[in-house]
Amino acid sequence: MEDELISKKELLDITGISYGQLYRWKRKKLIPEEWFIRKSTFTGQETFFPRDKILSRIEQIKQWKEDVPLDELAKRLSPDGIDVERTGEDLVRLGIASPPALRLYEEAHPRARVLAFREIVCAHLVHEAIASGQVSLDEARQLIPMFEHSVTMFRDMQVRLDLVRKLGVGIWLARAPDAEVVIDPQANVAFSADVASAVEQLKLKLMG
Amino acid sequence: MQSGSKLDKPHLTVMGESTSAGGEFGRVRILGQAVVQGRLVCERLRVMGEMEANGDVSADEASIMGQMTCRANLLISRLDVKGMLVCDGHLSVGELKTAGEVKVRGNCEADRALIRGAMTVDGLFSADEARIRLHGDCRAREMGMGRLAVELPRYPWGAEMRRHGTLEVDVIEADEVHLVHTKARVVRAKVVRLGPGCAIECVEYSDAYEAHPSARVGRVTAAGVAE
Repeated sequence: MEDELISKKELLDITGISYGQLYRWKRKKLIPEEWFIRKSTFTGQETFFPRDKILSRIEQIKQWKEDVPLDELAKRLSPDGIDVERTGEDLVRLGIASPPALRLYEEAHPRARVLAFREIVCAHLVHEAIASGQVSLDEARQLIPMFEHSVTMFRDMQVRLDLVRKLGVGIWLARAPDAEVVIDPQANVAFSADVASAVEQLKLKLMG
Repeated sequence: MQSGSKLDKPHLTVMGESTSAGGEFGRVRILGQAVVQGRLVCERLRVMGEMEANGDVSADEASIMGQMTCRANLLISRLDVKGMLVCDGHLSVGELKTAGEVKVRGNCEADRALIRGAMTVDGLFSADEARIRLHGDCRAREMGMGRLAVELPRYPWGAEMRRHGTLEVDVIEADEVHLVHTKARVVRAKVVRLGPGCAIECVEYSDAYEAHPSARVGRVTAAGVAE
């Protein structure tokens, strides 16, 4: 569960950025506040980051910052939704949702011709679930109401959705991304999706 | 309370004592005492009296000549404080200029900051460029800066003032720092210049380091800061 951490000093060494840049990006909300983890060490309080997340984020920022203004970049990277609408065919064309995933979504929402961002996220998650091969069509169908119910409860789509299955019966579980849960040892997590990172990828696809 | 509509948005002027529910305004002027209960969004905010905001306040331009207390977050593009400002949440400013007293319980963020009075930040004080003239005592838990310059206040004819405050920080991390009369546990920067009156437990620099003879410095280590 616990992500591997990286200290601030090591981060600067590896990525070659300066303190000024790091703090500027933090101010511009390119790096979320939650990633700054303060811990006590023998030299006093130090700041750590979740290693994989911060390294890939900084690579992204370095790659984009030449062409895109920081404020615009912040919008793309933030977990907030964006104003886009796409038809089902567009999503299939962009590789965001497969036709079977879309069919499931349209079964649940027969009149949805054009999908708003949140609905696109939902369709994409259904697609991911089916594509993983671990989730049955029926379980993927149940994901739709679960997603719609849970995203309203968590701020900024900071949700992780897990499919927990025991003795062939699967239920969906929504929780905050860093929240600890312990499940029945006989049960297993068949599929797990981090909504926030899905949102991030989708944005890059839809805006890029 | 009166409101007119010179532009498309209404104005809010408080003379005397009043309570407002907040909302969206063009200009807001507080001459007396005002309590704002909800979120306030405006183009220009001038507080000459006393204002208490219980919700978030955002403005393009604000000048505080009286007293302002905000129980939530402040988001202002250009802020000038000549009186007193207390912010219980985070303070985010594009361009910050202060000559009075500022207290921030959360983090204080600015693109550029010029501090000429007393300042207390309980969280992180972060700016691209900050200049602190020690007219009063300044304190912060952490500072993350592009460039930080701390200097003694001067008279108009150029002489340094004898009476001045100090800066007290736990950790300063920046690209370039120039400090005087600063007490800090750790200073990490590419370029570190310590002037008189500094007491630093630990300095980590990568490019350049110099210290005034009267600066008390514990441990100095080179490198460790990436380019």
